[in-house]
Amino acid sequence: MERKQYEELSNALKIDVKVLTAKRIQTQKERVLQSVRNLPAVQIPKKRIGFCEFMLRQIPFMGRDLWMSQGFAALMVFGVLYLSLDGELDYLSIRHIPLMLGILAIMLVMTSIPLLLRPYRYQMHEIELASRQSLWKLLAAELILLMAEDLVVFGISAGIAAGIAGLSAVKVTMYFLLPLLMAGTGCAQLIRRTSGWEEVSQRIGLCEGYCGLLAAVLLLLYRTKPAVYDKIGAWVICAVILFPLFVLSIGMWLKDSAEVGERTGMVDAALYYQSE
Amino acid sequence: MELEVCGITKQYKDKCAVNDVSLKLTPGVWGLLGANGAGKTTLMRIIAGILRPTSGCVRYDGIEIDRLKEEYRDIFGYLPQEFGFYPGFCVQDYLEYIAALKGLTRAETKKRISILLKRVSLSEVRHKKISKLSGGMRRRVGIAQALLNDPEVLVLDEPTSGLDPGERVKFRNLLSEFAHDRIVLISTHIVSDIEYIATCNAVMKEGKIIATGKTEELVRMVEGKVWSADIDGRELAVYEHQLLMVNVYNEGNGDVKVRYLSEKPVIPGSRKEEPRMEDLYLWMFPESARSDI
Repeated sequence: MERKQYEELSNALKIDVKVLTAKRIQTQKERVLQSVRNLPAVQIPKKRIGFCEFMLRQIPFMGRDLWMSQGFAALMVFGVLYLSLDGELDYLSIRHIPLMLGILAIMLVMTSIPLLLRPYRYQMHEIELASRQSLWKLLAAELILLMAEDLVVFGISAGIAAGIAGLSAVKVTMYFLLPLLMAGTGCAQLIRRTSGWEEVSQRIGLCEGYCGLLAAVLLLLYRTKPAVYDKIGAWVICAVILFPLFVLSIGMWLKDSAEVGERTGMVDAALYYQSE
Repeated sequence: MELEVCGITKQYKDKCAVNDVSLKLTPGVWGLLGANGAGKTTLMRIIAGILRPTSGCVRYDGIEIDRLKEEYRDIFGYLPQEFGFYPGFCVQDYLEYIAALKGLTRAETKKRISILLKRVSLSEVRHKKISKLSGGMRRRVGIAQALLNDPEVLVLDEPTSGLDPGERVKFRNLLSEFAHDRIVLISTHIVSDIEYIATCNAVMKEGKIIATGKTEELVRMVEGKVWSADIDGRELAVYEHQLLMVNVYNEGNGDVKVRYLSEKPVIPGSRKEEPRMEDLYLWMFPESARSDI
């Protein structure tokens, strides 16, 4: 390891003076300086935590409020269905399960939005951006933890649903996953496109509104065209198409988060006039 | 240790917030002085690596900060002008949260928080919610978070806004103590914040650095332009419109003692005064004095 770093310095020091232009001098200088900095004899050892430990240390800070609201959302879904079926869970037939799973997935996304936008809402984003882990890693850690939580909620709900209605694993997964992907992709795009809006509550409201609209569409399908839920092939195709879009949207959002929240010149200007 | 700002320009559509700024920062306290809208915050954000310049770069020890990435952020402490906290966080939670973001191990976190809370006199309120603290205390929490990783470069944007005079003095002493062997950059429009502690100053106006130097060097720019005179209170209104007044002191007997800036003495019986940083500021930003009249 040590030898490799000395070799790197040795290579950096092999300078062909004849071809040095101003730009090359700077590049060469930086290469030499970086190689020197990397030498164990020069480096001051500082113990720093990795991403996994950082992620685990986020758990206490992600807030009981979030988990309480998500738990409450899950209970609400079950509660509404329980009441509407007069407590007769046996009637929670194959027809009701898809709607219940879809609404649950959307509610999980809905309740995550305030957490993901809180750095902007509470003016913490500049400090978070300038820290070693930076804001994008913080958001990535929170997303992973949220997804893990969603997975647990999904596991429990899917177990209950499969137990009651005897649905296949593919169907249960699709009824949950597709609305989750739709809500997640839409919200990630909305968050990106409203970057720099002064009122963060408006951004949250927009995402919640979008999720609400999705839930309404699911409800409408459930009421008017329940047959849609039987076409599981179409659900799989939609999920396959949407999954890369979801990943891309999240990736782009995280990339945008690496700088003081601005994507467009217009936002740039707004930010300037606001801060100076 | 050297932080080099090389030809930084930041253009926001029709507004050039920072215009070809170059600075070489060495260990010590650096004051970045400028009126509101001078481009200080934009420059601070660029130095913090959280805002990309339109052109130019920032180098730390000869290497561009964009290349150093985490390595740079690891030796960097930042207190933005507008900083908040999550509701429900107590001082201890907040500092633990930031320590995790800065990558500190649990053991180091515990040690650093304990040291810093003592240093900023907040040990007694460590379990109190930040929302319940006074403005001055909150600022001190902000300073503590910036110092958590024991940074080599510390950037503070308008750090004393909202602090009372006593807290300002404490803050200045804390910084002076900390600045040994480190680069501390303080942006402010409050002259007294940096007058006695800054090793070097840079004055920024309309996106450009218009002067740099030690306090004594900069102050020399207004040497022979600072005057004081005793006038009749009734004449004050006339002179206020003519001259750039630094200070007006009502002596109680109808007379007024004024301190003003002018190339030549205007009021009969004017005496030449020793210039101060405040005089320089008003000389360079006369609009800031006139707008308040």
